[in-house]
Amino acid sequence: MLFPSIEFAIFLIVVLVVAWGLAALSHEELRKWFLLLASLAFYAFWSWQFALLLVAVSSVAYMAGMVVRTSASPGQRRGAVIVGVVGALGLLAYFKYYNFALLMTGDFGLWQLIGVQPPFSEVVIPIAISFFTFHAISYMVDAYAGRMVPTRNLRDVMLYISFFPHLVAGPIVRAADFIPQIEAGPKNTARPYADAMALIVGGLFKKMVFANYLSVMIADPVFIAPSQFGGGDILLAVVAYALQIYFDFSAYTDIAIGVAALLGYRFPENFNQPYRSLSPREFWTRWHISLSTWLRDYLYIPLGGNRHGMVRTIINLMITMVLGGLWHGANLTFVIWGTLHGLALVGNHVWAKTRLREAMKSALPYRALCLVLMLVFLCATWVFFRSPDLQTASDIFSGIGTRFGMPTLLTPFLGALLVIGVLTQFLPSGLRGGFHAGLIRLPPVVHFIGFGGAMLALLLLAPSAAAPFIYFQF
Amino acid sequence: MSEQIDIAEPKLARAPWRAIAVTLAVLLVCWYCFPAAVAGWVEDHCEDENAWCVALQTVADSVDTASRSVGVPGIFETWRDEIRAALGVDSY
Repeated sequence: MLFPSIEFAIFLIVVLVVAWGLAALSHEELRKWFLLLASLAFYAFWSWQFALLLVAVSSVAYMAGMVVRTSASPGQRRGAVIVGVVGALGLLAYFKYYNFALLMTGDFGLWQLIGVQPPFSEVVIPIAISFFTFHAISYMVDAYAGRMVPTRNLRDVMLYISFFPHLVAGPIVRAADFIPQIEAGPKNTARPYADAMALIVGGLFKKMVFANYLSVMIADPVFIAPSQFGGGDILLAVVAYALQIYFDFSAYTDIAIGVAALLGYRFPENFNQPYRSLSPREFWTRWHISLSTWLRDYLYIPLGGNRHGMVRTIINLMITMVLGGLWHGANLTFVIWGTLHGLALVGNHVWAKTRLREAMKSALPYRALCLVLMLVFLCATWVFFRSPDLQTASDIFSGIGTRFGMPTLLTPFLGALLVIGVLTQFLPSGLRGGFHAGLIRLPPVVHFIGFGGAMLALLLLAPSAAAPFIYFQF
Repeated sequence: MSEQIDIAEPKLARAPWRAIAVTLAVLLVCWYCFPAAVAGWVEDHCEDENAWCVALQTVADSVDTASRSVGVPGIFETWRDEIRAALGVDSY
C-alpha cells in the first residue's frame, strides 16, 4: 500500500476516524489494539506471511525487555539483550545478506575448495526488514541502557515496531522516545493539523512531481543504458538522481511524520536541507538523520567512538559507515558508497584538527569551495548508490569523461524542477518556520481551500501512477 | 520541511475532529473532480458481486454521475491534458 494511492487514502481516513473515535469514548486500550491491527494489516497488504515475521521479531524484543525489567542478575539482563540483538541481526542477515555472502565467498573460490555449494535462498526479502529490525534493536538496547523502562505490554512493543507510518521506510524512531508516547496516549494531534497536512501534501508533491519526473525522464533511462547517452546527459542524470533520492526519501518521511502527527504521535525529523552541507560530517547531521544518529548511538559509540585515540576513531568511523552502506542493500555498490563516506568522514576528522582549517573556516571562498566539493562528492557517491552493479557505475563515470556533449534530455519543465530542487536546499530555515506558523493560524475553511487546491494541482501535474519509494527496497 | 511550531497556537489547531473533517473534505473534493480514478479503482478491486462491492460501486457511480452532470470531470481532464502537454509530460 503506497502512500500516494487510493487504498492508502481510504485506509488513512478510516484509521483516523476509528482511532480518534475510540479516544473520544475513552477506550484507550482498544485504540492501541486497533492501531496495532491496522499496522499489521498495512504490512499484510504486501505479505501476510512476513507480517508474522514482524510479530515474531516484536515478541523477541519484548521478551528481552521483560528479562531486563524483571531479572536482578546483570549477566541475565545482558545475555537476554545479546540473544535478542543477535537474533534480530541473524534474521536480517539471513533474508538480506545470505545470497550476497554466498556469491562473495563463491567468487573467492571457497566453496570449490571445500567441495560443497550451499544452495541459494529463494525467499524474497521481507519489505522493511532493515527498518523493523533496527526498531527492535532500539527497544532492547534502550531498555538495557536504562533509557526507558521496558513495558510489560507485548502489544505496546508490537505497536512501536510495526506502527504503520514509520514501518516501511522510517524515520527510525527511538523506543525511548516512542514507548512513552504509546503509554501516555494522545489527546490531540501531535502538531497543528494544518502543519501535519502541509507535510503530507508537500510530501506528495515531492514524490509525485519532483522525484517521479526526475526519475522517469532523466535518471532511469540513463542509469539503465548509460552507453546510449552522451556525457552531458549522464552528468544531468547524476544531478537529477541526487535530487530525486532526496525528494523521494524526504517525501516518505514528511508524509510519515504528518500521518503520525494526525494520529497524535511525534516522530523525529529526518532531513534538513542536506545539500547545503559544507562537510561530510555536516551532511550526516542533515541527511537521514534518524539512521545516522542510530548508527552513532548504537554502533559507533559502543565501538568506542572517538574516546580511544585517532587510530581507533578512524577504525570505528570506517566500520560504522561500511556497515551503514551495507544496511542499504546486499551489493558491492552500497559497500563502496559507505566506504567512500567513511573515508570522507575520516578525512574530515583529520582536517578539522589542523590549524590551516581553523584559520580558513570562516572565509567565504573557503566555504564556497567546501560547498562545491561536497556537491561533487555527493553526486559521485550517489552514482554507486544508484547503479545496479560496478560496471554501470564505471560506464557512468567513463561516459562523463569521454563523451562530452550538451544534454538532450533537458526540457524547460525538468530544468525548472532541477532549479527549484536546488533552491529548496538554500532557503533560510526561518522562512519555512514562518510559513508553518502563519498556516496554522488560518481558519479551517482556508485550510480546506488551500489543501484542496494543492491536491487538485497535484492531480493535474502528476502521472497516473507512481513508482514505489526508493527506500522500500531497504 | 517539518519543524517545531513554538508560537501561540489557535485553540483548535490540534483538534482531531477538525483534522479529520479537513482531510475528508479535501479527499472528497479530489474524488468529485476526478471521479473516474475512484470508479476505475473500485472496478479493479471488485471482481465479484459481494455486498461491499455493490455498495462501493453504487457510491462511486453516484459520485461519478453527480460530477459529470455538471461537467466537472471534463473540465479537469481537459486542463490536465493541456497542462501535461505544455510541460511535455503527457506520455507518463
